Amino acid sequence: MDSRIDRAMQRTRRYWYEDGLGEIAKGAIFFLIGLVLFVPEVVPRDTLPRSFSALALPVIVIGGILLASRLLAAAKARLTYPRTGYVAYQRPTPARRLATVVLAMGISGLIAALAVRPEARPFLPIIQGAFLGAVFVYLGCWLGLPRFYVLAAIGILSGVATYLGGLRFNLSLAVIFMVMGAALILSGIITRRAYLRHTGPLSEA
Amino acid sequence: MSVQDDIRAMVKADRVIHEPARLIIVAILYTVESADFLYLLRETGLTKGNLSSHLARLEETGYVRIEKSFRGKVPQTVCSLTENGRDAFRDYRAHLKRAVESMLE
Repeated sequence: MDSRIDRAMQRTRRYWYEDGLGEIAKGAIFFLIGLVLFVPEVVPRDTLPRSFSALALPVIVIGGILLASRLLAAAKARLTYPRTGYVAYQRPTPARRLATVVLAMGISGLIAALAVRPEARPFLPIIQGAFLGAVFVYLGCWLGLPRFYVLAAIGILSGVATYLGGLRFNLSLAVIFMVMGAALILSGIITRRAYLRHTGPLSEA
Repeated sequence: MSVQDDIRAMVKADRVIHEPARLIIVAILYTVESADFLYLLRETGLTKGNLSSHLARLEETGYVRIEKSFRGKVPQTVCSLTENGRDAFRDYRAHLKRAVESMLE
C-alpha cells in the first residue's frame, strides 16, 4: 500500500518533465551559457562579439531563466494541460531557497578555490562534469526518470573528454555546458514526441 | 502487540483517507499545491463519476478545497489539500508505518 502511495507521489513530482518542455527550456539556457563562454575563447580580443559576450552572461542567466519560465508556463497551458491536466507545484519555502543559495555558493567557492591552485586546475573539467552528473543522478532517483541517468553519464563523459582533450579551463566549461544543453534539448524533443504520440486533448465535461 | 491489537490500530486509522481511491487522491494532492480534475482523473484511473464522489467526500470532511472556474470556454476544477487534509495525510502515514512496524516486531 505504502509503495503505491510513494509511486503516485513520485509520478506527480515528475509530471513537470513528462512533456519534455522543461528539458528543452533548461537545455536552451545551458547551451546559451556555453555559447557565451565559448565566444571569448575563439574570437580575437577587442572585437565586438568578445566585448558583448562578457556582458551577456549575467543577462542570459537571469533573463534566460525569467523568459524560459514565462514561455514554459505559456507552452504548458496551451499544449500540456489540455491533454493531461494541470498541476501547480508548491513554491519553495524561504528556508529551502536559502539552503539552495548556500549550496550553490559553497560549490562555486569550492570550484573557485580549486581554480586558483595550479596543480588542481587541470582536473576542474572532471569535477564540473561529475558535479553535473551528480545533480542528474539525484534528479533521476528523486523523480524515477531513467533518462536522467543518461544525461548524468553525458555530463560526466563530457568532463572526462575535455580533460583528456587538454582544453583550457574556460573552453572546457563552455564545451561541457554546450554538450549538456544539446543533450537536454534532444532528450526534451524525444520526450515531447513520445508524449504527443500517447496523449490527446481531454475535457472535464 | 497481538495481531488483534494490530487490526484494532489499523481500524482506528482515518477512514476517510483509508479508502484506496481517496488515499491516492490525497497522496497526489499532498505532493503539489493544486491539481485539476483532469490530472486526477488520469492519475487515479477512476471514472468521472467516481472521482467526483470521492472528491465531494473529501471536501465534505474539510480535507480538500475545490475551486471551479473556466479555462477559456473549458470548465476547470482545481483541487488542493487544506491544512487539515495535509495533517490528516501525515498522521495517516505515521499511523500506518507504526502499525506495519509493530506487526513485523
